[in-house]
Amino acid sequence: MLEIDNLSHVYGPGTPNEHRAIDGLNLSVAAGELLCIVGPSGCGKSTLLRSIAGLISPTGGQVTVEGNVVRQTPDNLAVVFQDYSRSLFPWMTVADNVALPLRRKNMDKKARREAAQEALESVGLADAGRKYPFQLSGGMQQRVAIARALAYRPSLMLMDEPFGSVDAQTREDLEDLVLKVRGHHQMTIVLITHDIDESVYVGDRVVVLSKAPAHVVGDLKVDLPAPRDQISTREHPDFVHLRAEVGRLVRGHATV
Amino acid sequence: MSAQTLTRARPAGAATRWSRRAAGAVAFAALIELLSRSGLADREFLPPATEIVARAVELVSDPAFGTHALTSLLAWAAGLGLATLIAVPLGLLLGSVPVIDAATRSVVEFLRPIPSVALIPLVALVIGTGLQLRITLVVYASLWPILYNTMYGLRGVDPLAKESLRSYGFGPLSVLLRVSLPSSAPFITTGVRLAAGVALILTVSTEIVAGRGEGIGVFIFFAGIAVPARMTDILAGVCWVGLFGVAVNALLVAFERRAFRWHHARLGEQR
Repeated sequence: MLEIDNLSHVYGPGTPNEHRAIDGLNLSVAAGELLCIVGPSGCGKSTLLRSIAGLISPTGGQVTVEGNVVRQTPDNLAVVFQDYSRSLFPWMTVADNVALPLRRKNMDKKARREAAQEALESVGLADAGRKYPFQLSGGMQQRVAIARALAYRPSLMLMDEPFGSVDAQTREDLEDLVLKVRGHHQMTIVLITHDIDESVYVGDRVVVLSKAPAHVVGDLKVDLPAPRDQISTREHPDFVHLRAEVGRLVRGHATV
Repeated sequence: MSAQTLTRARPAGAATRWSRRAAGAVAFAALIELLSRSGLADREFLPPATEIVARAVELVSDPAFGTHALTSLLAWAAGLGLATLIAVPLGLLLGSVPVIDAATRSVVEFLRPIPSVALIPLVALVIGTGLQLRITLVVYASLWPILYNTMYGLRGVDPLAKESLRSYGFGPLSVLLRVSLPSSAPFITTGVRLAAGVALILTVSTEIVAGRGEGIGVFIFFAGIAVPARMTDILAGVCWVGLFGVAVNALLVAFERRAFRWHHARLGEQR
């Protein structure tokens, strides 16, 4: 589904501010997998995500999505950014925000509107379509951003610290929402986070990155019973064991 | 800081704001009345406010003045409309293609400070003193605030908003039209509002300098060269120009508040 082959990226090569964000990163994600990528802050996670999405051209190596080398944004890809208030368009209603990307598909206005409504229902915002983003709470805005991604029916959904800007309760709700929607939609999800517990709770697999320049230092399979539950999963011995292991991997490379 | 927020007076309601403005206008008129009637100002140069207002009201039913007013309105509207049609696409182009911006910057910086009124004789020589003179100068003068506000608005577009659309595979032109343009719309509208005032100044000045045909400026010009000068007519004409300016500004401000609620909400204004 997604192959990352010897990926490197250097910002401002040859300048005094040269910054090597990623160095020789290899990663393979199977179709339908929910992969969490964890790493210390500033380790190049977002650079990795932008390379997968074709938003930047990496300086070395290549990314392949569904067999095609990424040169520009791949089809059937959706991104959910951390900062919902900036990634939603404030001049549009919630429904128009969700429907906008569908203009890239061969859908008439009615079909777009219906798909948007369906996606809003699936994130629990059936009645919010006519509102504007600024009239919603932060957690609801991020639900809209997720609905926008879902309506697009991507085969690959990238999430860049999607729950980093909401309170703890909302965060848990959104984590469960992601687990729920992945069951309904056939898609691969790559979720980037700096929260170790979250990565183990949500992921089928957790990949740990080193500090910049990023490369893979750990790759763990998460075999926790489904469906996951905020209380019982988090007290499961395997969960406790895994989060400790991920924590050691992150810390081992976070401190010099 | 929170204490300051708590003690800050509530913003005045619309009715209060309007009554305050009206009170200011009445006080100003009373001052003119007093200066004129007391003889402190020469009555020939400053007629009492009541006489000016009476004359202004009288002019409404004067068909000749109606023609003057309509002609000015037409030049103003055509000039402002054309300026918007030129400046917004130009601003989008200069604001999104740095190479063109850099290449044209010296020309733009050269042209911008030239007072448009100073161009009136030159342009009049080239294209005559008809409606096209007024429209040309109005376009020239009102271009700048719209152009600059468009470019300024574009600079402020959130890169993440653009990236969001790009991530769904939209190209640069789509991003420009679907994200950058609506995101800059509040700034562009403010530019148009500023330009509306500039356009009004240019319409009337051009008419006064041209001194022929129809237009409120022409009406004022002839009242001025009459012997003795018809001061009440001049000031009554000026009154109408001023009122028109206030009305257009108020309309555009109301439009901005309604259409760009999202923008004000983002700035954290409570309106």
